[in-house]
Amino acid sequence: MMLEAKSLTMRFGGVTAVDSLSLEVPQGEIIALIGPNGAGKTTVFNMITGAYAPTSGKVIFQGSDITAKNPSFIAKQGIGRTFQNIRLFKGLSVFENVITAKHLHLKSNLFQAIFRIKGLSSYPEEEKRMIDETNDLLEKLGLIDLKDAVSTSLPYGKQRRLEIARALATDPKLLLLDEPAAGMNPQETIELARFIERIRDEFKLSVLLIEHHMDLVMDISKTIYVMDFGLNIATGTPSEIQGNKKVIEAYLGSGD
Amino acid sequence: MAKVLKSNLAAAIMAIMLAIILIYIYSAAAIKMETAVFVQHMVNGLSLGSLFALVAIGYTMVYTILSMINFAHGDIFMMSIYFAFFAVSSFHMPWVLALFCVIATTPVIGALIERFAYRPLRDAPKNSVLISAIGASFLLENAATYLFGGRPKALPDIPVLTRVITIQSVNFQVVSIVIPIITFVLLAVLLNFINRTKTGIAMRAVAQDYEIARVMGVNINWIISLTFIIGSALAAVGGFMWGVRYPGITPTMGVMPGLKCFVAAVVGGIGDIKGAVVGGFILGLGEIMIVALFPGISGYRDAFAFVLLIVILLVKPTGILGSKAREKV
Amino acid sequence: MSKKTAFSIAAIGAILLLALVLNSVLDSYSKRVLNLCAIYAIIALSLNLVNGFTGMFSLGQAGFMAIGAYAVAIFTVPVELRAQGFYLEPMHPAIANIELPLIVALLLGGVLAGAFAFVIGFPVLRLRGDYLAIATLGFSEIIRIIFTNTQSITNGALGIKNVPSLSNMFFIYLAAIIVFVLMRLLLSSSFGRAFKAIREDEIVAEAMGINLFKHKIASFVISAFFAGIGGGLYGALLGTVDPKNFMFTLTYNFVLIIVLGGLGSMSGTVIASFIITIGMEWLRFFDDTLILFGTEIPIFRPGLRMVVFSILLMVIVLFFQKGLMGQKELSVDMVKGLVSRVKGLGKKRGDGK
Repeated sequence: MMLEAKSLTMRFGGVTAVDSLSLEVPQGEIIALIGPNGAGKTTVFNMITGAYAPTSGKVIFQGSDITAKNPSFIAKQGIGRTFQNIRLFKGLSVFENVITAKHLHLKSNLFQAIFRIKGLSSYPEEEKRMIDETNDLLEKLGLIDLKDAVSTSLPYGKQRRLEIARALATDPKLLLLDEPAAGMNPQETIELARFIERIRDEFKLSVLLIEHHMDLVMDISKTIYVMDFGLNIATGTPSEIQGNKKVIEAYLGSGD
Repeated sequence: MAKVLKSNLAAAIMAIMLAIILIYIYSAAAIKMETAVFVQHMVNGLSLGSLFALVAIGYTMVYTILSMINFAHGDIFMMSIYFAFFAVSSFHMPWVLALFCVIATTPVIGALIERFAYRPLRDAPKNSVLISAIGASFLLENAATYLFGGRPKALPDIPVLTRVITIQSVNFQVVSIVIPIITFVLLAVLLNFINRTKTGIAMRAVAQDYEIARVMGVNINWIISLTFIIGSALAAVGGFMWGVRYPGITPTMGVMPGLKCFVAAVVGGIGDIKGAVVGGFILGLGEIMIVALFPGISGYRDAFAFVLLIVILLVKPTGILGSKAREKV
Repeated sequence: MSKKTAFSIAAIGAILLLALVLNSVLDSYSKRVLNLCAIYAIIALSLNLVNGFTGMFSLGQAGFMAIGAYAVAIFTVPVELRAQGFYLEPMHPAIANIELPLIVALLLGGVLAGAFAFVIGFPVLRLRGDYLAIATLGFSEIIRIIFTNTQSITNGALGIKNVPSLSNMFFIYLAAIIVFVLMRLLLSSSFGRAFKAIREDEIVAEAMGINLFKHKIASFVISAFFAGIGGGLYGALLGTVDPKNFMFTLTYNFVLIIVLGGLGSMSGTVIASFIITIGMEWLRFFDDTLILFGTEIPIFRPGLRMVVFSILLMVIVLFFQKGLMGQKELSVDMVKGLVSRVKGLGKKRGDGK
């Protein structure tokens, strides 16, 4: 199992944002987390990535407990993420955005990075490797032509893609995507579905996905977890979820 | 919510009283300080604490509304002392009239700073506002040096206030008693104003969310100006009394008390007026008692505030009376 | 060797050669001002590392400078001259007979400043925004308070006189260039990118595996180290070191410089250091009485210079938030672009004739 969340609970003051949610992401699968706005999906992401310390519950990643660990430590273990409202490094170029995410695997220390004497310092080789890998990644994701552009000058769809590229640059084993299709039209959404599957295969990823576009979710996910008001109200394959009464109620309101 | 705050305040006051008793026992037992001497130090501490409180309220009010440190507040305080000096020594005003003149003139500076240094940056990055605040502070100091000269001045003696009276062999100046009384009266008036009047409620609304307050028809600019005016007026009262008590008026004299009062506001819980007063007392008493108990380290007196700041930020960043807020990811 | 590196080396050589020539040609006043420019550049660069590149807001530079200046003052005053300064209380026997060469004392000052930053960094760097500003400012004052009170080490409020004065332009410019190059290498490395990521968005930086605390403290300590070196040079340039020199208002000079030059631009910082330092000298006429048509203009008297200076700071903050360079660096292409634009303007004007 790539990721196991065991009865995660998050309370903010008197409000329970997530109430004992458990979920599993098997190796190489695409798993979706859906639910109406405010259901607590992003809070789950924040607990998995260490941005929030859960009130109770555990996060197990590849067999080891990473609950409430430092977010940078968790990223190093191999969990990459994107953000719901695109959060690029605004002042930096496309290339810089991506290569910055390579920093976590740097082995050279600060002194080696400053005093780059060939033979004594491992930094020059590492820098070259990081540059090559970044170019390679940008090539694969079709962003190479834009590499020197300021990140925020990109069109919306490319910005989303850049966020994914940046997350991939950390060499994750598990990728958390927070509403990757937000603001996309149906055509773009279909392309995104193929894109997610492609990177899953190419980078040997497992994917956990928050999404509102049902077509996308039904299209690519193996298992779907449905949340409403912090509770996990249903779990199952796309076809099981499609017919689930509770889920329909959650989305449409109970109708009385 | 109000209940929680009240019980918090009670707890804070009880903690302070407990601390005073402990300090008393310690000082009596360890260094054989006589009760009269101890009471005298306490009176000094309370009056210094009240002065800090008056200035600290200004910091906390501005922070609540604009979430910024008004770096220039200490310099507004400094300006008020110069105004007091000129009112008393150049215009020969009686002290009550001088006090009112100072209260009337100092807020003009506060309002001008808000208008010209902060308002244009209301939607700018926080660091720009911070730099502008530093600039405003620097400008006031340099303007004071230019206008009033760098040589220290002292307020002429006001015998009614500086007269020493003796009760049970405890000696203190009248002003040491007057200051805490004035502080508490002003605090009561201010709390009533904020909680009971329409303008006060508008002020709290702006503090919550000024965009929403604007939509609700509150005149934001006026409310923010008013906040600076009230804060400066309180600092002016503090400044006048400071001038009466301590000699040595210089253009940079506002900086240290200013920083300490900001610390007082943080210690009490930034955003809470009662907290600012509690923080002011903690700082004032703490400083005086440290000097009294450990004369060997009296040179480090000014460091006390900063050590306290670091400790409180690490132990309870929201301050003694503050409520918890978390950052959104 | 790439073309860029060759160009940089040539530029450095030219600057050093110029410093060497000016050192023997200029009068001592001009030398002093130009030396001050270079020293201010070192300290402003160190402040920009934290404030402009890492996105924190520190106001502790005056304190770190004081540490460096005192290290130089304490250890470079010739042993036989010390008793005459330390007349209230003799110098502590542990250090009374230690005399160090300037370079060693400078490095010691830098290391001590860095060590102090490391210790206070643990509590302080957990704070954000203006809280960090207040805390660092507080510590900078605490350093001053400590130096005022440790009579037998720093000679307290009397200060230390007879510091062998430094006026060698070549030496000071060499130091400034070394600091510049080291910082350039740091900022162009992966660590520099991590600093900028933290500046842009702390939460995202952390999610990308950048340990916030480690990087912040690295930036803070390196900044303090350079500020310590700068402070040491400053002390040696002044020839006298006393606690009043290191009021936190000193830090405001560097805030002005980095704001004018552009938060996040090294070359902007250097340019602004020269503009501000020379400008401050040039503004001295404001402090002198001015007589026009036989009458004295009453506004020109001591203090006006600083008023003008602080108004300038406000104007820059309010109206030119990006400063001269924003986050860009001066490059050959930029100069070429500028030149061609100026030429273009001239041409147009010529055509108009």
